[in-house]
Amino acid sequence: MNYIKKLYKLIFLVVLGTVLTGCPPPCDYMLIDYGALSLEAIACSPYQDGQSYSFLHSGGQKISFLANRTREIRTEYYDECTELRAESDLSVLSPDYPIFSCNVGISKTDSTRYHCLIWVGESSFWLPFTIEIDIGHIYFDSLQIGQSWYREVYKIGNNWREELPEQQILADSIYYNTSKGILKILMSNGEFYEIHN
Amino acid sequence: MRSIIKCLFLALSLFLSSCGGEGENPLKEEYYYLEESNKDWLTPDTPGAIFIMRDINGIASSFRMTGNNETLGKSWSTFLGINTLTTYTEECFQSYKSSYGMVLGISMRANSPPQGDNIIISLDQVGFSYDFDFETIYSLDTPFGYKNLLMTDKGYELHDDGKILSTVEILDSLPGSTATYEELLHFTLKDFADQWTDFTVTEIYLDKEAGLVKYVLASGISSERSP
Repeated sequence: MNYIKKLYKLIFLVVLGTVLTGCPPPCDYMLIDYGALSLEAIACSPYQDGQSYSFLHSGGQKISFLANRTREIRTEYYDECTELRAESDLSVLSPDYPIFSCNVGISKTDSTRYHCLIWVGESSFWLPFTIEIDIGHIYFDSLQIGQSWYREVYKIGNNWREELPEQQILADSIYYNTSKGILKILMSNGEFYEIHN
Repeated sequence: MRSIIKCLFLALSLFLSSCGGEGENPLKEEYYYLEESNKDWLTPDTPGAIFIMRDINGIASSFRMTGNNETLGKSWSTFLGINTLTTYTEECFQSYKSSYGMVLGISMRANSPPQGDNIIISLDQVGFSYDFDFETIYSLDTPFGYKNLLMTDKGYELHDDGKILSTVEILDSLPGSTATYEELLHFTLKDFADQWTDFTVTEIYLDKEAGLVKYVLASGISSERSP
């Protein structure tokens, strides 16, 4: 009888030991809050929710994009103890013609800095002054696109253009300024889309 | 005595359940292969291959092959844990993605008689399955709904989903703006017409050699294969 009691005690201790040593040590919860986007950051995208923006294809077809702009606090977890909160702003331009849609996304990267990433279909473009690496962009004080002149224009190349197959038709580069947004899209096959006022 | 019976019952159960596992050691095996003439509807492309489509307004898009697989699908039936029949069916899958986000899928599957080889084509979420022997669309899958016919020993019968109005015809030739194609499968969507949007694919032309050569949207915009 004593033998059985000892055996139960031993099993209990083994189970208790396993449970206690199996639990991870309690962590210190940490919240990293990058805060709200600055006005300067938000001004990178000129698009207004519900507004329509027109482009003219090099073959003459007029295409309108309807803008949907949202701002939200995004939460991410680095690990189970660290939570990261950052505000982001997203403008989605949906076409009335069966081609690509465009996105302009602005996100905080720490408490003071932000970056702006523009997507045209599957091609992506960094707005040069919002990132620290050199992406080989060209800056124009002023530039004529279509019938109009625009100030402070960046010509930006697709982030992945060197890795794409030659024949694939994608946006190769864009012209962008912060007052009008995307001014021109150059496709890899020579076609282009220009802003149409 | 009771424990001996329990042990025997357990052993018998284990034996029976291990017999027909995953179609192994069947009493009978059947193989179904696609007819070579039907396999010609698959494209000769390899993954990464690109073709260009150009619409009536001169806007081009590229389609890149993202997958090309051929398998022998395995299915089996069991009786009292014994695998009675294992069936191997030849299946082929091809997929493409366009630079503007359209997905094209072409797949083929051999079938047990009376059903014939079938081809399943989908473009931008509008898809259909066509039986070459019965010359029938037996299922239709769209963003607006799904319809299918009931597969029986005698062929296809109407199901609760109702009649499939969409059609497939095999064309001898199609004169295009840059080339004339010969022997094409022409699909026309006629179901769920009241729910279509401007971007709904309503016609698909598949050439027996080249693959997709033309499609038409509900808005009337059509795109043709570009050389």
